[in-house]
Amino acid sequence: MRLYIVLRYIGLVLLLNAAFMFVAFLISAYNADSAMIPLLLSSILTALVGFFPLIFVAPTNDLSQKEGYVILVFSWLVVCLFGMLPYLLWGGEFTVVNSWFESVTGFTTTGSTILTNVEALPKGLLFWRSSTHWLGGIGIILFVLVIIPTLGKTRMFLSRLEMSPLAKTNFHYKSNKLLRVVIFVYLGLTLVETVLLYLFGMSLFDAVTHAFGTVATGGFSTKNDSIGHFNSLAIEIVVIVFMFLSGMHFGVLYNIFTFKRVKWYKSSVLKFYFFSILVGVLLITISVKGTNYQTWGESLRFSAFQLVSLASTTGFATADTTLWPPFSIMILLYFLFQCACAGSTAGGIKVDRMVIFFKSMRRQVKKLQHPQAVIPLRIDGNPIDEETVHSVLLFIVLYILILFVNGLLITTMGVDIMTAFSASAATISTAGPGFGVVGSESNFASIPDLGKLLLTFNMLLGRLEIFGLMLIFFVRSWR
Amino acid sequence: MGIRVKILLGFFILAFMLFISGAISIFELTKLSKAVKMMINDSYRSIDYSKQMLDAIERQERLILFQLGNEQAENKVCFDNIAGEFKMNLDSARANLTFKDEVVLIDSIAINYTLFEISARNYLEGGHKQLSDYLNEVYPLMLVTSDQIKKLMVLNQRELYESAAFHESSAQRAIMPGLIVILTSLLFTFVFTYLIHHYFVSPIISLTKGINDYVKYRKPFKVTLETKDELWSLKESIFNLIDASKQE
Repeated sequence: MRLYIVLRYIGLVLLLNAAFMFVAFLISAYNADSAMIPLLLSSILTALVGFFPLIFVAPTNDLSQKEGYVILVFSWLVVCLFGMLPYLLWGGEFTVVNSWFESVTGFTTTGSTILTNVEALPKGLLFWRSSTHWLGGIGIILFVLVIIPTLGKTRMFLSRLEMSPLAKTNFHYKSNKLLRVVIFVYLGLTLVETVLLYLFGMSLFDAVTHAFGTVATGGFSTKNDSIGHFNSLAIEIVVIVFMFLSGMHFGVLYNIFTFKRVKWYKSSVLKFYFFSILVGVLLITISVKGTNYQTWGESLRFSAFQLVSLASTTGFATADTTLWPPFSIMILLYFLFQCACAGSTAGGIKVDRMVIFFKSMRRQVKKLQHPQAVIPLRIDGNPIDEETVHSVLLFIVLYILILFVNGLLITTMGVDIMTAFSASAATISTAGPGFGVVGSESNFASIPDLGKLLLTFNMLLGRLEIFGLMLIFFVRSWR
Repeated sequence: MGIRVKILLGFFILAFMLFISGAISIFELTKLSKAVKMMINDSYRSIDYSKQMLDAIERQERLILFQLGNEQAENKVCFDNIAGEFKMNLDSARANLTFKDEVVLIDSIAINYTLFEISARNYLEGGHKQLSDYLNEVYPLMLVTSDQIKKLMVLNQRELYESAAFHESSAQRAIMPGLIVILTSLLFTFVFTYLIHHYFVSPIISLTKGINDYVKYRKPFKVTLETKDELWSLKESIFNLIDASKQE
C-alpha cells in the first residue's frame, strides 16, 4: 500500500475542513466572539498539515481497493480528530473526551451532544458545529471529489466507496453525473430550506445552521430546546418535510425535482418508508392523545415531528419523548433501527435492508410450504442476488449484536438499562437522542468518559456501515 | 518544485508551528499570571479595608465606654476622626469590588454603620449616660455592623480560595493550545520524515544500488524515480555518464 497516496487524499480532506473552519472564524470575527482565536488557530493548523503532502505527492489515477478504504476510513478519523480542535481550544464544557464526542457526533451526523447549555456557545463555534454536520452528511470524500476536477478514475472509485452499498445499485448514472446529482440535491435542499426557515421567522444564522442540521440528518440546533424553542407550526412543518426528504434516496429526489419520467412513486422502498412513517405517526398520535396532549391536533403535531426526526436519523426535538407512554417509546425505538433510505444522508439499518429482510422472511415461509420451489427475491421487479440478501441479513444481525454489546458495556459503567441501550441504538443509527437520561430534551454529558468513547465508536461504525470501519482492522491481512 | 524548496517549506512550516505554540503559551501564561496577580491584590486590599473598618468600629466602641466613666470633649473629636477613617475605608472597599456579592454587603455595612453612628452620637451628646442605654441602643447596632464587616472578610477569603482553585484549572486550559500545537507539530514531523524518506532517501538508496550493480555486475542502470526534481536530474546524469563510458 502506498502510504504517501493516502496522505495526499487525507490532506485534501483536511484542506476542505480548514476552509470551513475559516468561514466559521469569519463569522466569529464578525460577531467579535470568544471563538475567534480557537477557530483561526484550528484552521491554520489543519491547513498546514493538509497542505504539506500535496506539495510532495503527485496526483494519481490508479488506486487499489485497499488504498481506497484506508483513505476513506482514515479521512473520517483524521477529520474528526482535527474537527475537535476548535472545541478543545475554546474550553468551557469541552474536555478532550467531550471535544472528541462532539466532533464525531457532528461529522457522523448523529447530533447527540454533551453540551448542557448550547446557547452559551459563541456563534462562530455554533457554525462550525453545524458545518461538521453538513460536511459529514454528504460524506467528506464526496465533497473533495466534487471540488477537485482532475481525479479521473480515482473520483469514480472513491465515490463508490463512500456511498452505502445499497445506494449504489439505485443510482443509474456514471460517476461524474452521480456526484453532480448528489451535490445538486444536497445544495438544493439546503438552500430551499434555509430560505423557507428564514421566511417563517428564523434569523439567517439560525436558518442556515438548522438547514445544515436537517439536510445532513444531523440534528444539532443552536438552541437548548432544539426546534421547540421557536414554537412555530410553520417552522416545524418545514423541518418535518425536509427531514423526510433528506431521508429519501437522492437519486429519486433528483428525478422528482427534474421532472424525470421515472415512476419513483412505485418504488417499494419509498412506499415502505412513507407508509411505515405514516402508520407510526398515527399510532403515536393515538397513544399520546389524552395522556400527554389534550387535542388531536397537538398530538399529531408533536408525534409527527418526533417520529420523522428519529426515522430520518435527524434528532431535532419539540417534545420530551421520555415522558411519552411506553407504547410510543417502543414505536420510536423501532424507527431508531429502521431509519431512512440508502442513498440519503441517514444512517442506521436503512429501509432498503428492512424491505429485503421482510421479503426474505416471506420467501422463507413460502419455501417451507414449497420446499422444491426456486423463489427469487425481487424488488420492484428486479431480482436481488443471494449474496446481497445474505449480506443484508448479516448486516442486521451484526448491527443488533454491536448495539447489544455496547449497551451492555455501558450498563457496567452505572448507567441505567434504558439509557444505555437507547444511547447505543441512537448512536449506531446516527439518530442522536435516545431515551432516559439521554432523551430528546437532555444530553450525553452524564455518560462516563469511557461510555462516550464507546458511543463515538458506535457512531463511526454506523456512519461507515459497520464493515467499512471493520475492514481497517484487517488491513494487514488484505492482499 | 525542487528538493531544496520542499525541504525548506517543511522546516518553515515546522518552525511556524513551534512559533505559534511558543507564542500562545507565553500569551496564555502571561494572561493567567496577570489575572492571578490582580485577583490576589484585589482580595488582599478588600480584606485589609475590612480589617481597618473592624478596627475603627472597635476603637469607637472603646471611646463610648471611656465616655461612660469619664466624659471628655476630645473623645467626641476622636470619634469623629475614626468615623472619617471608617468611611474612607468603606469607600475604598466600594471602589475595589472583586466579586458580585460584595456590593450587597458593602451597602449593608454602610446602612448599618450610619445607624450605629447616629445612635452613638445621640448617646454621646445626650445628658445622663446609663450603661443600659448603651447596651440596648448602641451596642446591638455596633454588633450588626461588625458582623457584616466580618462577613465581608470571610467572603473575600472564600472567593480568594475559589478563584485560586479556578485559576488552577485555568492553568491546565492555558497550556492546552500550546500542547495541541506541539502535538500537531509532532504529527507533522512524522509526515515530513516519512515523505523525506520516501522521496529523497529511498531514491538515493536506489541510485546508489543501481550504480553499484552496474560497477560490480555490469547490470543495466535502471532506476525509476517518481518526481522530476534534482534527483531525477542526477539519475539522468548518471545514465548519460554510463552511456558515455560504454561508447568509449
